[in-house]
Amino acid sequence: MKFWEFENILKEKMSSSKAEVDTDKLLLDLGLAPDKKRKYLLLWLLGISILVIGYMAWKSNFGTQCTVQNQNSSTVDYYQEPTTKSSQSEIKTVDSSDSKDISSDQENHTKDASTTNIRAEKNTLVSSREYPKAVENSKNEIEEIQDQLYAAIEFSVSNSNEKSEIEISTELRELDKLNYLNQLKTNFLESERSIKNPRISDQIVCPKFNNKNPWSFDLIPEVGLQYSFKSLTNLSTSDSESFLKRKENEKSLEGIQAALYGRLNHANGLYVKAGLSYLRMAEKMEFDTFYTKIDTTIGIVSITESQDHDTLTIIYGEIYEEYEISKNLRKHYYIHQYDFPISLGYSKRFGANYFEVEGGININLSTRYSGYIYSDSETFIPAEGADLFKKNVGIGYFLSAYYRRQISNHGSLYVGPRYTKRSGKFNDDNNVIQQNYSSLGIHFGYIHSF
Amino acid sequence: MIKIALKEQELIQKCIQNKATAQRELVKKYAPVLLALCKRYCVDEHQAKDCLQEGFIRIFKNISNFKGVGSFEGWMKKICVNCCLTQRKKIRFTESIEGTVAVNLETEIPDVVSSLNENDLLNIIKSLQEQSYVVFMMHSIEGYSHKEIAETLEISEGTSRSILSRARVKLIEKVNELYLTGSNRILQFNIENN
Repeated sequence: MKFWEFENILKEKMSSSKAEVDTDKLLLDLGLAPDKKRKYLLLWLLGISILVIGYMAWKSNFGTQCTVQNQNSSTVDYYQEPTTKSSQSEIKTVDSSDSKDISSDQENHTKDASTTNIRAEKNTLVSSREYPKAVENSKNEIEEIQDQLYAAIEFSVSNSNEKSEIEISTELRELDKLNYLNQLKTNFLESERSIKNPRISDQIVCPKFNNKNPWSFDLIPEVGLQYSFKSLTNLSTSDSESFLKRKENEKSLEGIQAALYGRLNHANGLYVKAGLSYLRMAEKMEFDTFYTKIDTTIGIVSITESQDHDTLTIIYGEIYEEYEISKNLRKHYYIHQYDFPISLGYSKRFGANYFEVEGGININLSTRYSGYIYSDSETFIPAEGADLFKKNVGIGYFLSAYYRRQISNHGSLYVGPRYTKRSGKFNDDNNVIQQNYSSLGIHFGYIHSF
Repeated sequence: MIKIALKEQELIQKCIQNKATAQRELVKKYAPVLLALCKRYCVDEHQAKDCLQEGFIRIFKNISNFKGVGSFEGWMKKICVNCCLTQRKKIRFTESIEGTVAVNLETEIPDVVSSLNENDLLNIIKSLQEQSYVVFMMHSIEGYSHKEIAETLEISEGTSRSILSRARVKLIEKVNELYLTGSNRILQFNIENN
């Protein structure tokens, strides 16, 4: 083998050589790994949650509405008992269909002014067996109208000799009304009978009311007050002045939180809650500092008297005076967090009171900082843009318990403590002072049930 | 081949536009080759990884300066070599080395290397003095010209030629020695030189 061949072998082998690289770590070090998968995962989670909650909310709101048509395809408004347990007095309108008699009668009498009243009466028709009283009331009212009409007609017949053609035609219309009311009464009686003795007709397709929907939807605005427990850890081998000063003097203040949640409840008490939350945590750095100020004045430094007491020597010069000046330094910085909390909870009802527990995760969407943070040598720097903190602190966990009190058919208030653990560190990788948080807060909210 | 070239060109364009996806792809594609290169020039793996990172930072910073002349991989390799040489302790080059030692590239040497793997070969070269090692690697392996070596290492071209000649002579001696003492000596070379 010639030497140039040896060199070629070397070149060939080394040029094609590859080393094993931890690409993920390298990308992270290069700032090119924005947790792409995680970011997409968050977006997916967010999207899916919104879709699911939206769908279920829609279903819970409109799921009870259905339209069933019979062979005549005519429709009549009916009332149905509401399905939500919290609003028993509320009645929802559903489309359905019923006998053509009513519809045809209605058509025959639309020109008559009195049909307005009749239609109003008709609108109170209740086909559900749970409303016999309503049927009874309607029947009684129609009977009253009928009696009044009978009386009016009898009176007019008795005075028939004095009637004009117009009056006669009016009476005939009144008779039409009477016939209509008779028909209506017959229908009611039939209807009442069918309620007492239900029978299934081949002609009628029973509407399938979806009144067993176990899902309901709530919208929850919430505010909270949190006390943060901060931990500062020095990752460097030696304790820096900055770390020691912050550790000693930096205090966490109460944080404020506001959130808007959507909550999907199941009839068995379990619920899923998700929303958007904003939290502002505050940190206060306060310490006393001293420094010496030297003041220079020109004055008498010494006065010397000669031995024979005839001469005084006065020496003027610079006189240095030292003053110790103390001052109190106080600065704040704030951490603003935008989160996407998702939780699973259980609600137990005791009359108008509820006790609820829930646990979930807090997905941080964004974190920003404002104010001034201690740097070193008694100087403060803006917390924003100092590359001291992360823009996203990842996922946290929380556990809550609430007492909830129903205040109306649709609304209830709740209050309860919440413990939150933020698993991600807040400091940037370049910052050797690691900063972690957990917090305990009290939260108030209003639940609006749909 | 054309497709590959176009793809690389596209990748470069996207990197110039600071598109993170393209930058990630570039890192994934070339990091293994460049790390192997950095390992050849650095004293340990930790330093090699630092150099690789620094190299990629410089690549992304200066990628718009790549004019498309020569291979892109070669351009990146040069950047990484420069990073390694910067990171490595300043190499003392004896400028007094003058005069080229005659070395015949046609010199017959025993065939002990074709069966050796990359690490073993690297260990043979590392048995050279530091300056000889760097110049030999730059010239014979990475394909630097003496002018480029002179500019990079801030020495004269003559010194570069002289160091390379001496390195080659030394290598011939090492290979002959290896042949005489058996291939197991390679390991001992490592120990002695480390």
